[in-house]
Amino acid sequence: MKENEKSGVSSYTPIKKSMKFQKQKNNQEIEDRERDNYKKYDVVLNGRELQILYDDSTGDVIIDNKRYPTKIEEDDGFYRAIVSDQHNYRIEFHQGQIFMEGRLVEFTFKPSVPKLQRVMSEMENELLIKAPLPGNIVGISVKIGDPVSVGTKILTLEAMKMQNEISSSINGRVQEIYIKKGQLVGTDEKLVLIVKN
Amino acid sequence: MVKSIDRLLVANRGEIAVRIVRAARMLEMETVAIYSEQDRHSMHVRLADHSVSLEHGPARENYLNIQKILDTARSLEVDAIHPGYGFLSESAPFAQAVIDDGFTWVGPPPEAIARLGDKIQSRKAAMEVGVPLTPGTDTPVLPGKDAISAAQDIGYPIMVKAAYGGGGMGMAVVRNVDELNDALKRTRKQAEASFGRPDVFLERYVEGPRHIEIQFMADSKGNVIHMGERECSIQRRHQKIIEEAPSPAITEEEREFIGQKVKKLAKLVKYENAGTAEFLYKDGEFFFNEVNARLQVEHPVTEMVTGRDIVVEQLRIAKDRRLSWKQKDIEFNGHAIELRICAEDPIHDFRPSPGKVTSLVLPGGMGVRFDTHIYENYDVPTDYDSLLGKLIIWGEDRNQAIYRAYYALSELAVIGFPTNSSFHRVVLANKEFHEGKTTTNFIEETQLIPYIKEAFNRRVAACFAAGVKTSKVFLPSREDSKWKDQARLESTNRGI
Repeated sequence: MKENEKSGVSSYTPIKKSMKFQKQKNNQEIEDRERDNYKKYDVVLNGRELQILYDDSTGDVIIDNKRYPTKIEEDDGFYRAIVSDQHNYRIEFHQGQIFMEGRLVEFTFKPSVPKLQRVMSEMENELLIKAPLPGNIVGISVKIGDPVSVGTKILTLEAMKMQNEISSSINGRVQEIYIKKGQLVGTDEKLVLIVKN
Repeated sequence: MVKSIDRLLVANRGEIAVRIVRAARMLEMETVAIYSEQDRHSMHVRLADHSVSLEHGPARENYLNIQKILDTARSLEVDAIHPGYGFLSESAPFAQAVIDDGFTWVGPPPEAIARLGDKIQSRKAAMEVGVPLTPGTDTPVLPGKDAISAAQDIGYPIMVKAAYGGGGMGMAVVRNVDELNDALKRTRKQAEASFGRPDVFLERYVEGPRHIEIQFMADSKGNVIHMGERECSIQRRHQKIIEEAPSPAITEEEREFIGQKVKKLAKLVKYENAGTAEFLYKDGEFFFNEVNARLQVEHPVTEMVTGRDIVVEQLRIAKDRRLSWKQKDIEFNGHAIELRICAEDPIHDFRPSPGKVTSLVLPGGMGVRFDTHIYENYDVPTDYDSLLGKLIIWGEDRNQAIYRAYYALSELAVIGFPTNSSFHRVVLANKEFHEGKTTTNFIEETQLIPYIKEAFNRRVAACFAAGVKTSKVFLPSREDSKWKDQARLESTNRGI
């Protein structure tokens, strides 16, 4: 920090900070053998659900196989979460609400229970694709028996005036197709089953 | 003679229906809203003086149903119909039916809509008044010698385009002569299959252009003005997502040049009411794309820099009044940016992410405007597009507008489902955007999406660490619905 700056005043305003970090990548990939130290959690931040790993002893959070070391400081009524040593977030808890950098956020977490559909699918070596939202099946790009890999386009769902391509997140083979082209589907309706090779 | 409009039917939904109700109120018109049952709790239904349900069903049974809309107009004895944007706004048959039934149509004459809606006709009209066009063939071409020499004249890269196509279908980019014949054969096949006619033509392919458009307004007395340009280069799925006025790339001379051409085009087709001429722009050259014969989503940025209410003026023009402003009255002050806030998740390929708005916190302050139809507890229907509202920011200059937009966005909280606001924030803090280096390929070129994901992950890590280490975040499912009380109790006990 430069000498003429007030103590505690960051040399970067939020917009400048955001500019500075924009092209930076997190290259801290973790090794598989380290995973034993971590507990799995299901979290939701502003409507996005994801699964993370957390090591209680170090404060490391793992998301998408990348490590985010965290530290928490208590500071006069709010908390400061420091992520990867250089990103500061001011977090405040007030009457059941959570504010991050002064803005209301929705955040919940719970320990991951292996009963969850997603986890079960992983364990049983299959992927059941369900409709993420109601819409119209405008195209099916695979046939039963087709081999697929991560990213292979499976079908196109038209919803909210958009064509949404749904692709496979595993390598495998198409086992079942539950829908037809032109069919209207509701949220969570079964679409396609893919089985790992 | 000036027509009177005492009661206006708004044939639309969402934020634009709200916008039109607001404008009608300024002229002391009563408003009639129509709605599908999926939209029963939408804000426009509540704001209008009268609301009529057109029952549950797809848009063709309500917002696109000409007969039902006209029946409603008759039974509620309205004087005029405003179509908004989308739905029936550019339907010449609808405009004609409205007029034939004795109502006032708040929009251009059906003949003008029809002429501008036809690709070849509108290209011809543009050529007639000297509006710059993409060099191309004006007649269909067949594979062979003639095509090769035509392509030579136009210059590569070339776009092969179906003459009767649309929606991004039946097009191919050709980079050299070896690819030409194959592309022609392929596109003709596609065009035949999709549009019933195999005709294709050649056009110069403008690579990495900006999207520039000119707002214009015309009255029934033949007066036409232009209101400057908007730049709408930042798009996803070829749909605009951020718009600004003025464009950082356009000089005053260019604005005047293209503005005058657009006015000529409007006069040629006997245009009335508000319209927008769209262009691709690259290295000082404009290439005419099309005219949107209606009000546009992004009209507010022009309103902010000109200080003129375009929708109120639309209603005045529909009453056969003279344009309220002369060209010299249109002055440009400062800079405006519009951010379309959508129920879309940028880190999952902008897929729709509708849900219930559980909390809504709106930003405020000088130069901050939010046009929306959503409110707390509003359920975003899955039947329509994902637009939740438009955050429109004015600043004394572009830099101030960007800063103001960034910080306004950092206060905006739409809670309940993912939105694209993280995308906007990252764009507003992007160096290329600050420098005005924007093209229609901005998202691909800047590779912002991985960064949005990365920033999101960091926020998750921060929230999680703060939650787990302070035991202040509880699960809704863990102890019924007591978690909020519990958290409240804890925070009170600790004096926070």
